Amino acid sequence: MALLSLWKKELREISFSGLTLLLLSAAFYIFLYYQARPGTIQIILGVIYLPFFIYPLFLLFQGYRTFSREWRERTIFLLKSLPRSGYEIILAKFLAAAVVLIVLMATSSTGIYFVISRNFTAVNQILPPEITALNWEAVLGWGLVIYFWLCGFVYFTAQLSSLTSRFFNRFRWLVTLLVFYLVNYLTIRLAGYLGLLFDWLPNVRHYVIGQAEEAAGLIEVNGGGLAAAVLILLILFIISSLLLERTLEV
Amino acid sequence: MKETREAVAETSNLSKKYGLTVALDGVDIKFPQGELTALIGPNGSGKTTLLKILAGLTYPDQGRVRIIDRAPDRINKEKFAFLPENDYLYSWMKLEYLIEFFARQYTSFDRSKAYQMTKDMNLKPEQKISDLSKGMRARFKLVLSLSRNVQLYILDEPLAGIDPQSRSYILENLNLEFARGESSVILSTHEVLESEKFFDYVIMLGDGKVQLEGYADALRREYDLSLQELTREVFA
Repeated sequence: MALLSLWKKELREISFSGLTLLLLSAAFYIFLYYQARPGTIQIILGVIYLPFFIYPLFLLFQGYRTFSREWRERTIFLLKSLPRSGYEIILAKFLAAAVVLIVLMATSSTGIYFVISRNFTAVNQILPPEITALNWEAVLGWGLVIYFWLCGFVYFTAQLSSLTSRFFNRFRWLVTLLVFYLVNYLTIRLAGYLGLLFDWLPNVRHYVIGQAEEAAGLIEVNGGGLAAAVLILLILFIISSLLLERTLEV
Repeated sequence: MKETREAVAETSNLSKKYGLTVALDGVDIKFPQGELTALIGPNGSGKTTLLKILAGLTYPDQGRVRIIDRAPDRINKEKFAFLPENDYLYSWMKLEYLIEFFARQYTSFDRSKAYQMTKDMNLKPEQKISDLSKGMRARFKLVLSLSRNVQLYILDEPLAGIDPQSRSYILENLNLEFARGESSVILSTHEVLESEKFFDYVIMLGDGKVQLEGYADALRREYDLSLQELTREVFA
């Protein structure tokens, strides 16, 4: 109950920016829906995924803003006075951002579906057969996994950078940027080592053209890399939680 | 003179620096259980830092803190209520939302008491925090803290910015609160004149050190001065 109430508070905190982005996305797809004709379909296909490039930026912004706003408005006194662990607070904030992301993605996916459906024949004509023959379930499934990981990574990195900057009284923006770059660099190095460490894990294979013999139609995800990616998110989450609960002062 | 009771919170050799500024310098204090302890001192004397350390919001550079028999942590945050000096409420929340939020976060929170105190303080549950005046917010902050049934209330300047009528209501309430049971109160204040009749134990803090401490009655007798006059003497 306590975590749920904390999550609701966080959801309410980001609802304005989330709702604004949702309305903008919906307006964008309504515009595309009415503008899509056989003559413009190539342009439409070129820009139809544009919101999916904006959403990670939204997560980046939220990751940075969640705690900087708590400090600026002094509400961090309330948050840190609660009998909740750092893990619970960080999790509540992340889950709120994740729910908004899912709603945004659902809206965009619905928009894409309607735009494509309306011009299905024209789309089929311009897309090469090797694309239309793809096993889209596997492609979209892995695409979503990678996309969610990227959004989570961007969110936790921005949050950790913002929290680290709280150790300093001046140049917080500079510290945030430096930590953000440093965490990215260290993550790449760490991912390499972790990937090797978990190299024994089996790879995950999906034949996206449906013919097992054709290597070109194969998506093969390295098991070690997958474990490393999950562990990196977990490490970022744990560091932020410990910083919040045990080290940062208000 | 009353005999010294068991400590509800204590610090030993507590030190804290902010850059080159010494906020606390080897402070040893025992806050007696079941008493209203007043923490008195001028601005910058270290009162807020001490209270934040007790509440687990700031960490000492040196020394030890015990509050309700353990170091300040997540578990004993349920056993004491901390009211910070500054405005720490979410401005978009309505009073009733905050009451429900606190009720879900703290098992020690008494929802009906909160609504009753809100009414007594002339506040409306459907009001938004952003629509309240400074004094009204201060009153509501106090409602949230006093609506918890805990062993210890740590109140940092709870009377600042509150009108005289509400101040006396608050002080009477505090007095009732801990007269009722085993609760203790640690209160930092500048309003010595108005509130000194409620003090049991007094700690005067200056330049990060304890300048004077003792039971209020004993100090009055020993120096033949009121606490207000004694405060002026100590910090002259």
